[in-house]
Amino acid sequence: MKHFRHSYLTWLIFAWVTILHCPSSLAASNDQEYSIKAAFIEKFTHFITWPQDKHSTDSSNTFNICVLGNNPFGDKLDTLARLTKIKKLPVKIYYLNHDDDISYCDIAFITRLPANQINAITHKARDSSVLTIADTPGYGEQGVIINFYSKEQFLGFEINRIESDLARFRISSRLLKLANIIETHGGTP
Amino acid sequence: MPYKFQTPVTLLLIPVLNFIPVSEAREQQNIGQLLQLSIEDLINLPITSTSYFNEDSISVGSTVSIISTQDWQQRGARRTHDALLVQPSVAIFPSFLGQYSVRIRGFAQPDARGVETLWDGVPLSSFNLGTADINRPNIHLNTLNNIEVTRSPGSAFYGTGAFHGVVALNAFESDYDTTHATIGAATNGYYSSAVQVSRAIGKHHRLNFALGGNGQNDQDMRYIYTDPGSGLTASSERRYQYDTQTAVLKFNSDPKQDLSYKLGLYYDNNDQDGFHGQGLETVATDESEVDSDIGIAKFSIKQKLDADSSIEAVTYHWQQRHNFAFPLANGNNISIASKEKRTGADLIFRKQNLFNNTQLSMALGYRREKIPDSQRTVRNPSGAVLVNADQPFKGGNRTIHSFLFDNNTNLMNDKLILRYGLRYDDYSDVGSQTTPRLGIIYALDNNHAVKLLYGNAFRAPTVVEKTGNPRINSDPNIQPETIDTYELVYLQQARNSMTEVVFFTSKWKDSIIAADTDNDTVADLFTNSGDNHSRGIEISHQADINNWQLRLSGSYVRSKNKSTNEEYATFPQYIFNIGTGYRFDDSLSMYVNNRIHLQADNRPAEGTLTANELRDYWRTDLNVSKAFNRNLTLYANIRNLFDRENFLPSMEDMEYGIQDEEISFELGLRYRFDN
Repeated sequence: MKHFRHSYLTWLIFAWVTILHCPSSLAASNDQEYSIKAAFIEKFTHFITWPQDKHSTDSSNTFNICVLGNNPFGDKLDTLARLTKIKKLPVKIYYLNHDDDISYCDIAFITRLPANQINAITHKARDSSVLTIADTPGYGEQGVIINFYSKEQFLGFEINRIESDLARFRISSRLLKLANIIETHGGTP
Repeated sequence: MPYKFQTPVTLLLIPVLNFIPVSEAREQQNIGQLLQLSIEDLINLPITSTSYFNEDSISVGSTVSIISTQDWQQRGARRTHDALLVQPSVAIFPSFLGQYSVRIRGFAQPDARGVETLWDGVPLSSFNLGTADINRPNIHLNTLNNIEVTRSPGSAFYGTGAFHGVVALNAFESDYDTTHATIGAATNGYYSSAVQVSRAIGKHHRLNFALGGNGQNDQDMRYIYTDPGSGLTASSERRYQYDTQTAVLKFNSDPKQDLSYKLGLYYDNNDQDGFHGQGLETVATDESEVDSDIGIAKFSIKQKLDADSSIEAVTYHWQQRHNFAFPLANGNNISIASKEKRTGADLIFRKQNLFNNTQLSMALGYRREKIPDSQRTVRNPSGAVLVNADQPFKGGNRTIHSFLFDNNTNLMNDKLILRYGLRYDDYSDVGSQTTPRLGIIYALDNNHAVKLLYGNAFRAPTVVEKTGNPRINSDPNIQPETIDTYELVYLQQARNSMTEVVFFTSKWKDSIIAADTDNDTVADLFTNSGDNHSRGIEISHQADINNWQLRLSGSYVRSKNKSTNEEYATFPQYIFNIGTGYRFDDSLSMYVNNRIHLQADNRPAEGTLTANELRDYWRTDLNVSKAFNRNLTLYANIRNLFDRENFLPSMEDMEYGIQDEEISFELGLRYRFDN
């Protein structure tokens, strides 16, 4: 056994190095964070009931997720849309500017933007019963209904109860138990 | 003829080579897997043990890996050290008093000191023994959330003890109400049960509780040896019987409040009989007994000072009792009963955003350890007491005052991260010691980084090494040993894969050894002895591709004593861990893990003892898991699937090494009581 098969070992290491440097291993560029946030978004819909008139006034027969501003998800939400239905409806993803109409959105993910614009968006969202989601510190207090944050070792989220009530969402206690509850009014423009 | 491993390895690698995915498939797989999780499960794995800040793999300034619950469950791990056996250049060595000591990157000496074990941040390494591997070999895995293994010096953060590396056991806690129960039993008499409970108490408090027990019956593990009297080959058996209980209770306030606190109570008891003992000189009855328990109380309180800074006070106290028994060469039996105490306190200041690009942490530390009692009793074979005396180190104590800072500075739009830290320790008995660390991390992009890391560590002599014992004298001029380690790391992290390549070299100076006098009438001597050198390469790759899961790691390590020019040949030159999992559908999954050691000697070559190369170690474990619904999962493990007769090196000079376990089949279930 002293005469170890170095040629075999060389082959093994070569195979390994080949794997490590395979281009497809390096192809993925977005991080895991937004995959998890995309999954969270889908999970939220299981615990939230939209007002009955939301879908009766919307004839699209799709569940619309809108991303406002620079899209941080890459193609993750499109993948989500291919893999699943939400509320028994096919999922459609829209990428919008901040000042676009969002009334047909069921969910609006809002990226970082100036404070005066966030107020305008939350106001529009409230009137149209659009569930607003963001991942910017302070957006929960500014009226976004669900706001992700880094909590110790975990990804956490806060829920603005006043805003969710104003937008007439019913949120399951199971989801509320997991959230940091905010009870401040986001204000109006 | 050596074991024919080429074909199986090739077969295992074929799927690896075929699983190169297209990115779209990976994306779908990743999102698809995440969608299968409950909302409570959508959490990130943390890296917390190498700094006072949370870190990710790219920015972490050490070679640290997280071993998750899922990881050790799918490998069928039963004891703490089982869970570690997936890391490159980490090996477990059977050693004195039945221990399976953790060795990192070579340097396999008989004295298993220099790897710190932390339990929720509390250092457990004994002041007497210099390791936790003897007293605390089996903190129940189902009372843990995860384990972090640092394979490089950690003294710049943890001080003495974290010399070769750190094993950080993070105890169970949850952010949501949950109740889990696990129960299992195996054909070799193994049994295990555990429960985890987390409950909100009012609006701002939470109680986490975990209780676990496991053990196994008499294993009748046969071993062979050369009878010192007749010179003929003889055989005997070891029982390898143990029984362990672990309990953790944590009560904490809401960490998001400006003022938060956490109280933790920990208990562990380990009672093991008939494990390997001293080695060749007492072969016919080479069995040891260890009975040890520990109780820990820990309290921390944290005050946020402003949006990005906080101050935290942490204090802990533990008491440990350990009783050891093993036979002596002359046929007598010795038992040692000791008690040990440790109290520690740290005051930590953190600032997240100094000058907009620097995370600053500073800490003041205090630690006092003491051996209030230690007694040695020698009995003859008929049980008559021959000696009943205090150990020389009874009453031994040490106080350590320390200061450390540990900073990150991000430059070039976060592409360049500088990690720099320094720890100063002032010992009551061995003077002061300063340990620096430096890391230069260049992020090629969000997913690739190159790191150049330097770490210095020291280990102060234990109370036994300072004082000596009846068989080994002490050197009055004994000094702390030091080590310098340089690492070059390439890290690639993508959505479904992570790859790490590490080149390392370590220089260990003034190593503390029990020098053999080569004369049985003269006691050996604890002393500083020469320099040692270790170098090697580690490669690890993890990937989740469609329904497949890959966990691969390998290492090549050479280490030697530069003074004697002798290699630490018991540490395997090559270690491979090849794990392959397949998920048949949403509920049924299978995982096969192979652990391979190549080119390791049976024992250290010392004096007149010669060493021979062990046959290659290859163990295959199989796990099958079936989830019947969201609450109930049934699992089955077969350890040592092919019932191969594997041997691990004996650090106490057993000439045939120490036999690894035989095949066993375990069946168990996990039940979640949540809706």
